[in-house]
Amino acid sequence: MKQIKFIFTGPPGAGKTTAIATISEFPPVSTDVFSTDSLSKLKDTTTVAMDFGQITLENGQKIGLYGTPGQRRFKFMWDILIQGGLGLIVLIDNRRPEPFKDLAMYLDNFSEFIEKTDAVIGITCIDIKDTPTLDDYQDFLKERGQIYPSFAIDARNKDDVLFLLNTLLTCLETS
Amino acid sequence: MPQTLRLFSSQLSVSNLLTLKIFLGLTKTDRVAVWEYTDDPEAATAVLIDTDTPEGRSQVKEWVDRKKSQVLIAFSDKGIGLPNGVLLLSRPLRSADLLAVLQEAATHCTSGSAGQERGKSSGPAAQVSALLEETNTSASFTGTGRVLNFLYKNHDKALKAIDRVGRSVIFDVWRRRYYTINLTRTEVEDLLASPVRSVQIQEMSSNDLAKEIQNIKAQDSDPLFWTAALAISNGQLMLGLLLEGFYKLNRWPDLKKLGADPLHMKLAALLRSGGTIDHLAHFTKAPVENIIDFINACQVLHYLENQQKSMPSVSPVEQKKPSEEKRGLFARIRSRLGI
Ligand SMILES: Nc1nc2c(ncn2[C@@H]2O[C@H](COP(=O)(O)OP(=O)(O)O)[C@@H](O)[C@H]2O)c(=O)[nH]1
Ligand SMILES: [Mg+2]
Repeated sequence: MKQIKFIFTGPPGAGKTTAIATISEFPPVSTDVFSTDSLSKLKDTTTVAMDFGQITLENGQKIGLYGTPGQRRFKFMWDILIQGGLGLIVLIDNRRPEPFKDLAMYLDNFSEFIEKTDAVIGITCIDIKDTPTLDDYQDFLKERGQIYPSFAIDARNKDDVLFLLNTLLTCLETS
Repeated sequence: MPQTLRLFSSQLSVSNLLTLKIFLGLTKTDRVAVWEYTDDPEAATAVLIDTDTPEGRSQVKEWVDRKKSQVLIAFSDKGIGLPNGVLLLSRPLRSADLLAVLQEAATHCTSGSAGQERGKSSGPAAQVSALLEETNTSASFTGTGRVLNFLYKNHDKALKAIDRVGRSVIFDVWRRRYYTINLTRTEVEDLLASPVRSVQIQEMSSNDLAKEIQNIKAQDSDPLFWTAALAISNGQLMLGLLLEGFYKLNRWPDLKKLGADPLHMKLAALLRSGGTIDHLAHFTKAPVENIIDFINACQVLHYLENQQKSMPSVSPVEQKKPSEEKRGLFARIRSRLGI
């Protein structure tokens, strides 16, 4: 049986592991995943951590919380990963040099999945670097003809993470 | 040419009626709408009923049931339990309050949201809003409507509002900031709700602005405008918005900052693809006035697309809901996470 899950994506350091940790029943388990374009080129591989957390519902059902790097070179694992995915939480680190480019990449790479489900965007580390602003992100989305719920959040704050999930659920419930 | 509108009243005391008639005279020089008193309820544009009497209360109900085109105004101390769409004029009778209510009534009878078959006053709502649109280059503004609406119309400016006792607040409307040293947030909210006429408003040059705000902490005006818009709204669409209009978001409202009302979240999700107020009410099963409040607040913060006059034949707000199974799952996740 495929596991029902929420999928967290975003660049390294955006707060995926931290966000999952705020709600998971156990500390997120990090799995090493080989990153390569072809399995034959194992020499060139780097490993990257994929996070796994979980919550258990009152009927015993377990909901997975998966953190995944979203770069295209990990595409080989998405098809499997997104099975049972309820929706996507994109975390963007505001300190990175080109956060819009990051955002565009994650939205594009997961576009098919988002199409079938939905996505919310959390901009992290705005407390450290306050530009671009949330407005700038929304302008950027508007230019792309997209309206996704987007908020400034702190991945260390459980309420912020719950707010993202609450919004995502509301979108899923009304579409 | 100002429009002539007529007011009929019922259940008012002799002294209030006299006061009312005197106050109506104040609109004589209004460039948009001049109000006259009429003894003929059928000829009236608006009807003012004292609802602090049992007769008054039942008259309002009757009037609403008869679905007349007149705008109803309740004169009341508290205004509790008023039917939808009835404007409130609070007791005691004050000219500023009355003029604000009349201005609102004028809007409703021209925008057509209060009555269906109003042949006479077919002029576009824009006519009524002319006063608000007015961009006065002289030192201070006068006009009708509430301060919040006025700021909304002047979204590219910096304005200073001074209340009757000389306390002031500076709105850098363009940058969505406000500055004050002697008003609390609630007091600024009250000021936003008050009629423009009761406040002195001056436009500020960028130099003046820079000078005056030097040592004052900037505050985000979004949550302030949002709360004020919701509070003022009272289930009545803002000037220029139509009850049968098609609404669509142009960006997601920052409900994390503005307050995470579950209905607002739902409405935002629905308004992503757009819909009419009817559709939204149908889908959310929420009272129409709560939806109108949200639309007004979104409009004030510029979260809405420019309104399309004609509604697309098929509303993008689809009526399909997730399967029973999915809904059960979402509910269990919510309950587990406490959201
Ligand atoms: N100041 C600040 N630190 C954050 C925020 N979000 C996450 N962090 C920190 O950023 C670091 C990287 O987060 P991590 O969860 O490992 O990122 P991941 O690579 O996406 O899994 C951690 O030390 C977090 O505590 C934020 O909004 N503000
Ligand atoms: Mg990590």
